[in-house]
Amino acid sequence: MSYKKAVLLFAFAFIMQLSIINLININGIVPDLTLCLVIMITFLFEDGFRYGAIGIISALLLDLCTGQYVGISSLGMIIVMAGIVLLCRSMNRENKLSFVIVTAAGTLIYGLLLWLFMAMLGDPTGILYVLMYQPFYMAYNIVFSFILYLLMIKKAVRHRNDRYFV
Amino acid sequence: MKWIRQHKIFSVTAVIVIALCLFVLGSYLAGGGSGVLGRGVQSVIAAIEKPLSAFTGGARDTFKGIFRFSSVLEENENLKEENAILRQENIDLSMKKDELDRLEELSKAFDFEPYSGQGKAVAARIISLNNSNTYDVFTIDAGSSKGIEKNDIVVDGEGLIGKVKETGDSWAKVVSVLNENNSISFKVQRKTSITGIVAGDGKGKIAGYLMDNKATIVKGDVLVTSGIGIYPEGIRIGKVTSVDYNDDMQLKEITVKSTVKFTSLQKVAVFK
Repeated sequence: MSYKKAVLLFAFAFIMQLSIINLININGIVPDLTLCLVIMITFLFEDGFRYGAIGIISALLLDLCTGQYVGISSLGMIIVMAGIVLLCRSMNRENKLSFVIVTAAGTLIYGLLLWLFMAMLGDPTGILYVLMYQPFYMAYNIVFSFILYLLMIKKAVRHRNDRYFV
Repeated sequence: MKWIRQHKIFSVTAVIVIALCLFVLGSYLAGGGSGVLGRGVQSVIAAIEKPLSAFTGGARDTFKGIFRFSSVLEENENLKEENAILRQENIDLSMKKDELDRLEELSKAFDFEPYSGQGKAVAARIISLNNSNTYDVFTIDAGSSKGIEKNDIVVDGEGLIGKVKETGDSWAKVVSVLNENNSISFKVQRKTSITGIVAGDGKGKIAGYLMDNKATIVKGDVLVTSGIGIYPEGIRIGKVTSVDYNDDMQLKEITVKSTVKFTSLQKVAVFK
């Protein structure tokens, strides 16, 4: 994957996130396309961390448009990315189940991090309320990430640490 | 320097994290504001989002029309009934208007001027929502070029939506009544002597307390703005869903459901 493609993908996801994606809004819950892309790219590509950095800028812009405080989503995303990079060392990246687990865990950790940062800045929302909606976000993100995974898996370069690398 | 060169990725990540922390801190200290650069970026984004949000709104209405035809028919019947009631109320109100005119003349005699509530209104469309289900902050497609300023009031036909937090040339960021930092002074429509304060509870509802612990407020009571603070008097806030007495705080606490349907909100009016 080239930087140019990554920028186009994130720009597309950014525009969709703020507009068209609201068409599939279920009780206020929509998939987080930027997060899905960050997880997918970081998990699937050898230098995914580098391309995922574009996602951090995208999250910063999202915060600018609709967030209460600028930078919170980016901070959450960078931690999720770091977690995926560490996790990928012991996982087979071509296994679909591994990807589903990583997406679910990434979504949950991202949600909890956002809650933590907002709580530190004085937001009174309880953790139980956040956890109550997480399964729906996870399910939605898994569906979208999986579609992206199936589209991108053929373009992914084989990793040296994959089991069948020759 | 050698260590930094050897640990390039870690060093870059650390710099990004520190920069982001400074962003968050700056934003927090500015009360959630975006700064000059942020406002410039938002103006560009607003220009891109405007046609897309119009398309989204149109598509959503079309799909709803197809799949909810029977409920639309039912809604139409209900609206017809409501229209008939409103017509009758209009007749009653016009009769009361004469009485009000007389009272206003009387109030002038006592050198008292009530709020007129007839500010300039600007219609706007929501162009971006955050992906949380709390609807506490969103962006509209009208800004300072249309005369919108910070703290202007945002409403729709159902009631109070919030206030303008920040403006750009062609956009404005709105903080809704569901935001926990947006406190509103209210009075009960049924009995206007009952007053209190409400704010968002961070869970998509509004919560608050009464000024007078002994005041009688019941589930279903409609709350309207009291006129104290930036919100003009008489705008509907929501309906009381629960009333509890907090022994520790010695306050009568209420939970309120906003009259505005935030999940399907598309167009708003901004009052100066």
